[in-house]
Amino acid sequence: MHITVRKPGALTTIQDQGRYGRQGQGIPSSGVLDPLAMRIANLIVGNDENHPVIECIGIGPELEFSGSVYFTVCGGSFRVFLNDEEITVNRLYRSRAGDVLKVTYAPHYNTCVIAFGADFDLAPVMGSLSTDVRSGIGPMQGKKLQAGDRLELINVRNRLKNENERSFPLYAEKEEITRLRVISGPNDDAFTGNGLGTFFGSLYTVSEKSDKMGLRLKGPHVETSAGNDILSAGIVTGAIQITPKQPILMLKDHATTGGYPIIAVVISADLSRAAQLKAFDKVQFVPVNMETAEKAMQEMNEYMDAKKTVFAGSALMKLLAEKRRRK
Amino acid sequence: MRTVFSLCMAVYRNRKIVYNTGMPTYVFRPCGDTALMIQFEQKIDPAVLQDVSQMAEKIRNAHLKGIIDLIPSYAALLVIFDPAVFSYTILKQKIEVLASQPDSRTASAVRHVDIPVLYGEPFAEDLAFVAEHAGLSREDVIRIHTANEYPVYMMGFLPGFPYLGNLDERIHTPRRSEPRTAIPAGAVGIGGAQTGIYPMESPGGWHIIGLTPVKLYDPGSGTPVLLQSGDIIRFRAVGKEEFDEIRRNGGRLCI
Repeated sequence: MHITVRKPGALTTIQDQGRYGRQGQGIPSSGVLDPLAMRIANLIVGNDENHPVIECIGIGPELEFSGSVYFTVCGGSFRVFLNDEEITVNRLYRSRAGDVLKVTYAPHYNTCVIAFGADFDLAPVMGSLSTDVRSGIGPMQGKKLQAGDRLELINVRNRLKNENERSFPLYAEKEEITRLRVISGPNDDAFTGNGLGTFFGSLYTVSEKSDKMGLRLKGPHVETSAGNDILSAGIVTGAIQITPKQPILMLKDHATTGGYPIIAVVISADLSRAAQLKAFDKVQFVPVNMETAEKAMQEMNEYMDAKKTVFAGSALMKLLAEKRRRK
Repeated sequence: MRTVFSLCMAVYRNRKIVYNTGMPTYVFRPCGDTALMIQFEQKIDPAVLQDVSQMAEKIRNAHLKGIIDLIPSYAALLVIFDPAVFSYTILKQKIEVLASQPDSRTASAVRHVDIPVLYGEPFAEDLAFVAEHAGLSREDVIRIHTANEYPVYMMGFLPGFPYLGNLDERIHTPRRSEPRTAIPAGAVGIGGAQTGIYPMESPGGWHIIGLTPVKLYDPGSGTPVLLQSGDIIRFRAVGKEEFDEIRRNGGRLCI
């Protein structure tokens, strides 16, 4: 069976967790902007957590199914329609031939993903199905999806256990200020005490010039101790560079190296909330230690594992999981 | 006593523990909970590059399961890891053990790469500008540019883009005040104290003095990126005929 792209949306691409192992050659990892959305989507349709998905940014696509397949739309609370009937994100559905899925827009969220209980009939490029539009690397010739594109689905999964249980709660509503937890460094020694105080004590506003490479932030100037140049070095997703003009929070399509000092890095458990920030959102950076960061990720993993048990398990397994949860 | 104390404080402030063992000194810096930066002495220096390469090789050869990617740079190595496999602290300990092992001897197998270049107009627009800025003839600029060996300090900015060191001071040329919107793949340029090759079409502010037919970046091939940090590059002036010949053969270079 296949899926036809009727309308492509704003920036709709195929993504997985990213293209790793080649950043030392200058090849960006790219990959799914909201890693949590990918994980929950894949668990709902019975895939491995890092199975490739369709990523929607801004405005989603309109897709037509040629047959029956499990699917879900997960992540930011976009308004989604199946044949003009509104459906809910983070829930399992099954298509019929001729169905049309419309992923529209979310006033307060930036991105969502569509996962299928099947495999894309696409060859990995340098070990990954992530699309890096800027460098032209990935499936579909490294381009975003276009109207008329046809995506073949193979190995369509037939029956899933516990269909009705396969859902996740909606993302929490955004607060007026998004607080992202960060770990200071690696170049926090390039700033004055005043500069660090300004950065951690101020509110920043997401600029409309942001994209999947990075969130450009408007706010008070952060004072450095010796200019804004350091010897160029590697960058990790979530790093906050301080350029002479503004801080930039690096998102998945960032270049592999950079020459501006990095004051702090967003912890991995908060990358999903960073990915959902839109222009004019307000953000504050809260320093935490390594243990807090590790614990936050561990809790997220445990939650996923518990859900996985419920989705896959028998009645007895469910009872046991429930009992463990009550404890 | 006071001298010893202030010396200790100076060492502490620099967060460097200097033992007199001849081992390279480095510090660990966190990059969130999924990456660790190993910083060496912060300068552009072949000896520091060697330290970075050795460290990268030791980590690569250990084949640790949780290491996702390594990004070497002028004076640092970024190690990206999976926190579900080991924590930052555990990884630090593992790297310290690896670092204390003697440097591998096979690491001296440095690759030397000859890059053929068709210099000057009409293939590259800025050779005359660079010559005039340097107060030299165009031939002198080519002679000087082809004379040095250039170590690849790091890869980055674009897929397959090498950051090269050791450009002769006589042909240092400040970047264009207005960057061009499109510089072709294969363009060989000078930007300030740096020289390099554009692996793909891109905007850029460097002065373009030549064009190489060699593909530095070929996403469809088994080795998409030709160069790696630690390689030594030499530019070789070629004529139009040889340029066309290499291009006809797909711009492949056997290293």
